[in-house]
Amino acid sequence: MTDIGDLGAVDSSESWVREVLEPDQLTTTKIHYGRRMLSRGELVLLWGLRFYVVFMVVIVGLAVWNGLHAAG
Amino acid sequence: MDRPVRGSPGAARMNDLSLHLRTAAASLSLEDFKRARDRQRVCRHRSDRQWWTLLWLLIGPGILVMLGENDGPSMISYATTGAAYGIGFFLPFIAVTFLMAFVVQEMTVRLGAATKRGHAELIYERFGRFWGFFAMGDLALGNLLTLVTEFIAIRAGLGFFGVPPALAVLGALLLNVGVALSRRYWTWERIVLGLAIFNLIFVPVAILAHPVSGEVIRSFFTWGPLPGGVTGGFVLLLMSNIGATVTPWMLFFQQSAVVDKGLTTADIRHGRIDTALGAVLAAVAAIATVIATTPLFLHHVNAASFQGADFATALAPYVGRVGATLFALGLFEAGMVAALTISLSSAYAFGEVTGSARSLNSPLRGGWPFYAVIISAAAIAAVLVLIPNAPLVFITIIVNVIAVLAMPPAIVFLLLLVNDREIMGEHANGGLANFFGIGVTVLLVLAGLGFAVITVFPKLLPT
Repeated sequence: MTDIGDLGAVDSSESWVREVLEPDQLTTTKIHYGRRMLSRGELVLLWGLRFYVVFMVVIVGLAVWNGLHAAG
Repeated sequence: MDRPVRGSPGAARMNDLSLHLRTAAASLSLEDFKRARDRQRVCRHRSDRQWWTLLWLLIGPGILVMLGENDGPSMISYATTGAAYGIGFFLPFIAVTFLMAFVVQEMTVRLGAATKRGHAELIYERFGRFWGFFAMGDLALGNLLTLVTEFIAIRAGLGFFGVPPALAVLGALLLNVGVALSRRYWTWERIVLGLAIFNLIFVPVAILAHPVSGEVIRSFFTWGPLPGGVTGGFVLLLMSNIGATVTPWMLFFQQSAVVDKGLTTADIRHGRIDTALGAVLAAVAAIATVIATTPLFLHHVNAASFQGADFATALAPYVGRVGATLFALGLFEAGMVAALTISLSSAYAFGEVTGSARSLNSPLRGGWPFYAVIISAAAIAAVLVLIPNAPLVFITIIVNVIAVLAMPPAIVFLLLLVNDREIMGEHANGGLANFFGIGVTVLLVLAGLGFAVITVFPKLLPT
């Protein structure tokens, strides 16, 4: 039984909820989309992003290093 | 029976009947009832053709994300720009940056409305665990550091009125917690909208600065003047402003807020209006801030090392005590609204990736991880700000670097998702949307990368 006490006076039947919400908006009926089939170009792009993440970590690390040395 | 995967062979035949049966059989949660109550009002006013009421009901995520981006550091950046360059190049430039922000943010509206999923959730589902957790992790880190800068602005703004730092920060934290614990998306949204509209407080300050209206208008046509010409400092400022036009939390926040609000594809047009309205309001506030600090430029006041409240103090002789007071209040508002929206974006991403609660409509009992993220993110940032001798300037610099560096993955995923016809259907990007979307993306990424590299290796920049 759904606790809807804090909604105040409201129709506790559920049909109106299903009328105004789409199925994917209900918390228990979402279908998982599943993994996307990647094209060759998208695979290359995502691998490029992985290398970018490494680059990003290095740059942020250098920024932190420079900042700590400047403060020290 | 295995859960069907959307788009898999045979799923189409199963979809309609399966969906109907599942929907009819599904038990409803409190979150469903709350969202349905909000949607019921939308449906009623749409069928009654009460367009203004409908617009009122549907605005929110777009205005909040744009005005939230006018956060404490951004307003200080605009103030610094006005003090250094006066009325000229940067007025039309700021307008163009918000146009670019609209192009990007509009895609999140369509994504959220068409898929009913938040940004982190979609990345997790479509690209796997690594990218899902990476997106959540780097967003959480960037947001935490950004929240520190917001509490700095809150402390500075209220410090102008003599409010002790601890009281200012604690008060802001309590406000953040209190609004989140309303456990109702609609309530949270309306309260924060009410706060966010005070971003326009910089407009009366600009008027009090007595700008020459002809100069303001002329600058939009001539993109000038540019005092000092194109220097290394100007290029760096340009790159940092472009690179920071859209930050990762904006993508995650708006898409998840669209979902939490319950928008559907029928609401996309209003979502666009909401986003455009937000961009206009934010641009007006930003431009007003530049104009408001122009007296400092005209009187050769060196504001390069000014912190938040220093601007209010320095402006007092030119805009009066009232103007200075409004400026300080605006700084507090900017930090406060950003703290509210940014902490929420972290909670959305966490819930979406971990499969736990991800809505402000969640009850406290089942949704405690969601609320815990909001509260702990804000609390950690608040505590850091109050630590004596904490390296806050260092954190502010690092935040800028992280924000621009974290943007490329976030925006690449945005483009991949919004072009994914399997999930977007007819609402996927068309040729024109891709032209502008990819164009803006390339500009944001290159400017951001350039800014980050030069920040770390400043000698690369010619003086």
